[in-house]
Amino acid sequence: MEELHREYSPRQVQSVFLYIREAHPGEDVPHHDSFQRKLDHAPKFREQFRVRRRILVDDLDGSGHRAFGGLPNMTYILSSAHTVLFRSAWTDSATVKVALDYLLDVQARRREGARLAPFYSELLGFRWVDDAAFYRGLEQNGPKAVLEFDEAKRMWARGEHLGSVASRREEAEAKPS
Amino acid sequence: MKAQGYNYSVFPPNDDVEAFAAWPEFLKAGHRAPDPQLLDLNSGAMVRLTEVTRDGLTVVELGSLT
Repeated sequence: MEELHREYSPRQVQSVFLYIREAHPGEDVPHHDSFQRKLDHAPKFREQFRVRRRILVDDLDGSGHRAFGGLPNMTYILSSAHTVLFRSAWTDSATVKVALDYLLDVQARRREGARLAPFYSELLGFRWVDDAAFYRGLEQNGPKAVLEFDEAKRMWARGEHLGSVASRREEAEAKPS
Repeated sequence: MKAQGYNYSVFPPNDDVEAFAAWPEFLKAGHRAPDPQLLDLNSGAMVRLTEVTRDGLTVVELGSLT
């Protein structure tokens, strides 16, 4: 995403990073129990990933994160009118690049006078799964982060989460509106 | 997330799965984006996201160390 920022900023595309809660807190990078701790972690993130993009820190309650859907690593492309033009449940620079090229082409064609009407479309993205890099991140957060994720994987493999999702959906549907 | 609060200290596998399951119907393309108030790490100033996006196409990535 940093490379994408370098490539597209000369084309008037801005890129910002919204720093949110730690998805896998551990002994060395604990959960945010205060806004100050969140502020302390954000520069660590910037240094570790050599981020040159503007970093914006969400509030302690995750108001921004939750309003965007609450997933751990989403990407959105927003228009100057603050409309969602693209969204992705996971960040994948190749997918974002495709979207940016498309949207910049739309802008260029409109400048040339083309009459273009918006329509809704979806795309199933495919991202590279780099387990080794992910585990390095967990290890940096601390052994607890690794243990908890391993346990979560075992639980997902056993399908135990499916019952939880179904029961909570039933609870939600049973609630009077 | 619900059981332990937003800033959980123990990763909640069920909540993670539920969030992914709900997301496809949440804040779709064409909708107006949220406008949270955020702290700019460089300047220390509070900014609304609309103050950023009004200048043009903006890629917003959300994440953390893991």
